Amino acid sequence: MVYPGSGSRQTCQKGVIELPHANTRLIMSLTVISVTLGIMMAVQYKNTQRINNDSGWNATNKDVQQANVKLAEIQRSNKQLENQLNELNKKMVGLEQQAAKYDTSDISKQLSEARILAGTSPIKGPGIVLTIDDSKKDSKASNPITHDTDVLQIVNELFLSGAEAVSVNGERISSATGILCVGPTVRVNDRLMTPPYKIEAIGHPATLITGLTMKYGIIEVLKSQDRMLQIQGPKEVPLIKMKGFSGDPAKLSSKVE
Amino acid sequence: MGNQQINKFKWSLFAVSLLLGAMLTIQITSGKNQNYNFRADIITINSSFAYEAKHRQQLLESINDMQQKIDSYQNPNANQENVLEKMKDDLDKAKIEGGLTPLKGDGIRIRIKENSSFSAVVPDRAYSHPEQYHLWDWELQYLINILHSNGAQALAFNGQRIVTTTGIREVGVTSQDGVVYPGVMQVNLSPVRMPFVIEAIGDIDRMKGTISTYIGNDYFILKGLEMDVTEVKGDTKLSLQPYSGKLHFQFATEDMEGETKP
Repeated sequence: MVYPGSGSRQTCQKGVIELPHANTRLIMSLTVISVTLGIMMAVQYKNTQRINNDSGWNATNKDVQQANVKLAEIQRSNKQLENQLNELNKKMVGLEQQAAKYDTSDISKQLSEARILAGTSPIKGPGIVLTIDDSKKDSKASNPITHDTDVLQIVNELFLSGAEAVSVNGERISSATGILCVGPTVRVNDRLMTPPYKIEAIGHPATLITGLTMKYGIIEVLKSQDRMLQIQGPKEVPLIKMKGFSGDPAKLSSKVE
Repeated sequence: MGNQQINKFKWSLFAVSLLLGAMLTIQITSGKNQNYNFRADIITINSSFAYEAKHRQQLLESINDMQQKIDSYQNPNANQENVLEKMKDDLDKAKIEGGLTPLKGDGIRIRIKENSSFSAVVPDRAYSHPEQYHLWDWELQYLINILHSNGAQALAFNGQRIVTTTGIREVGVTSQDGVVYPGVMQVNLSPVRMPFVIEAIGDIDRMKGTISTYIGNDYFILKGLEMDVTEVKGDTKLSLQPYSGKLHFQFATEDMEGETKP
């Protein structure tokens, strides 16, 4: 950029005033700055528009709100369908029990055990519950986010401690379940979840609590200075009810061709 | 007059700079507040919506199947024998889904073993060794988990069938000052040793893709190990043994209609 002041000052000192020339330089400088600024802004705007259009991310607050309403609607409707399926499942188990009342083949017990192991039928029993959430916003933890591996390790620890069934935010852990991070969310049975994660386990409550809270155990690690995750529980619950696996049936091994 | 001109220029420049600064600030901050959050939100919401739409279809089909089954159970013409016959079919299906029957299918075989190229530099893993060379139980859990998340329908680890309640743990391992004193790796409470062989029946392309993305050979090379993945399909299908553990549920019972609440 040209700074015209020094030249003008010298000419003033000599008593020669060149007003029109100074004005022209001022106007020219401002014009150049304004045009450059205009070009920069236009290029920036065009680029932002192009990137947004290319990636389909050109969302406004209104778009997000509308999408959110649609999502909440279908989630509510699916929840009702899941409850309906759960009730039908319970009805079917009741009918099976009736039919097998005088049967000596033990088929009802075998069927029940196989389904509990596979995680496909609704169950109930005593157990524990714990909730895990990201570290508080003002915490100085170096790794404050709840990861898929954290949820996975808790689930693994619960089964190693004798849990007979586990669910995460109501999603039953079955023989076909995977737990994986997708951006800021954790995917369980293909359903995206955000923290806090409520983990329920059916089994001997005291043993499950001991398994989770032992020295150098998973809870101690997640509460450490590096993580400082917010954990409530584990606490004993006299009766937990869990739905059966309601994810994609194609994932089950009975669909192997 | 000359000084006045200079002052005017300075003020103009100051005003233009101020305007430019304000515009740039608004541009940058509005970009952050609107686009960034909206983009992240809209992608997450659309992804969740796609899942829910597919899930809805599956739920409707499952409800329809279940209703038909109940109707057939309640049919006045149906006798107890018919119901028991259907229960036997259900038992066969539940056993497959629970991992209680042998299973054959196309899939992949993953072998994790000592890397012979590094045998001179990597210490014997059976004894105490630096932490960097240790293969932890949670890494094996994670490998199994990403396969489950991405196309695997049935899995076995060194012949041990992976079922819902399977836990993987190295029993007795300790670590101090960067040195690991190894324990015994257990799957379904049975000891397993290197080489670790994981067999997975399911979508071969998805499983291979996910391994190379998340925890492929490069990951294991750093530990002085190597991982090879082979496809097993066609005539030579993978054959998985059933879960051999004892089934005994003391606390969990199936929830059924008509029971009195405790």
